[in-house]
Amino acid sequence: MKTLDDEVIASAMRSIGGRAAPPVDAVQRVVATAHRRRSTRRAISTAAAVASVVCIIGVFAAVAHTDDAPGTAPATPRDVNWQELTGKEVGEALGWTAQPTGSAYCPDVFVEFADGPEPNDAMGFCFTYTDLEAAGVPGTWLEARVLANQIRGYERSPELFEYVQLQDEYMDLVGSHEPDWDRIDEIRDRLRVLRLEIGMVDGPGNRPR
Amino acid sequence: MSRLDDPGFEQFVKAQLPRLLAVARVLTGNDHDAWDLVQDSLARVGSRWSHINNRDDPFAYARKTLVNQNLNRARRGRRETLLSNPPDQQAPVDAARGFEHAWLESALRKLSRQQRAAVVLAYMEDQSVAQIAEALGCSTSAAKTHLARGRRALRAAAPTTEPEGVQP
Repeated sequence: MKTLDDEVIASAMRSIGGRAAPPVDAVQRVVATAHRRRSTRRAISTAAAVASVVCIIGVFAAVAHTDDAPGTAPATPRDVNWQELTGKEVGEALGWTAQPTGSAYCPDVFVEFADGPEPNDAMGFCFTYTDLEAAGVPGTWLEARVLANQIRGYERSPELFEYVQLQDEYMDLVGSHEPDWDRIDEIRDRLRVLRLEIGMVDGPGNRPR
Repeated sequence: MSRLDDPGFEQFVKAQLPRLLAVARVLTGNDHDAWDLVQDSLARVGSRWSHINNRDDPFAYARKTLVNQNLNRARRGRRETLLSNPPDQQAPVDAARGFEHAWLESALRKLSRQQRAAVVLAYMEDQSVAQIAEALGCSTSAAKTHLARGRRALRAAAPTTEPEGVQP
């Protein structure tokens, strides 16, 4: 039920938001940007189709060329069906070197596959959206997340999404000006339960107390 | 000038830009980020316009994109702005409005991103808990929690609203 406070809040919020008409050229700018983006998407699709053809030719050429040791060269990004690879294979296909995930800068998607040198750390690849997009891997936030789920062998599940949501909320709370420690503890406990439900491979620090 | 094949998108932008911008201003807390957020979100919407246009409510899709983009930017931003020397505080939305509603801006800044999105959708857009959950991509119970915590914090920060002469 709405209270008097709610009406004050809603009114103040609308006031902060404002409803002034934007400059005329702003509309044109937005439309032009959308048009450019769509053109880029089409160009990428076309390039991917061309790359597929080149790839098929390349496969025939590779089969004919038996001098090279098999499996030594990383695959061309666009000829890979990313959804079917493990996280480790994605990293390797891109020619990257595994590193401790805890020390990585600006990682958007973690793929962990082995214990790291430090407690609570793991070895793996730390994908950024920029890297993924540059490599031709479907790299929008959602796609990358789904990709991460699949390459770690998880099914898309309510538990997994709850886990991701809570983990994000946890990060926000810990970084906020006045952390709500009760909620943080609540989230930590729930994350531990969810890790077990999801079947996530746990480091020593993640095990339930 | 570059134009989309479907002029309906341009009409959509003209009609909905002020409303999206208002939501974005409260979500981000400043005008510059709000513009970036709206532009980025609408660019995404526009690039898929032929699919979105057939939906019952293209605005709902655009608003959801806006909210998700904001959460997404927050995640990237948080990781990219780990500085040893923090920069100055960002400018308020507008000097006059920022002063008038400083209590609200201050309270909003203390909320988590999800809580902030939940209260903005509830107060500004009159969205139900189910709709907020859908926009945030979380369960209804999680959305309810975000909204309740956000609402509690804002109510606590709101100026006293008792009518004059009435004893508490």
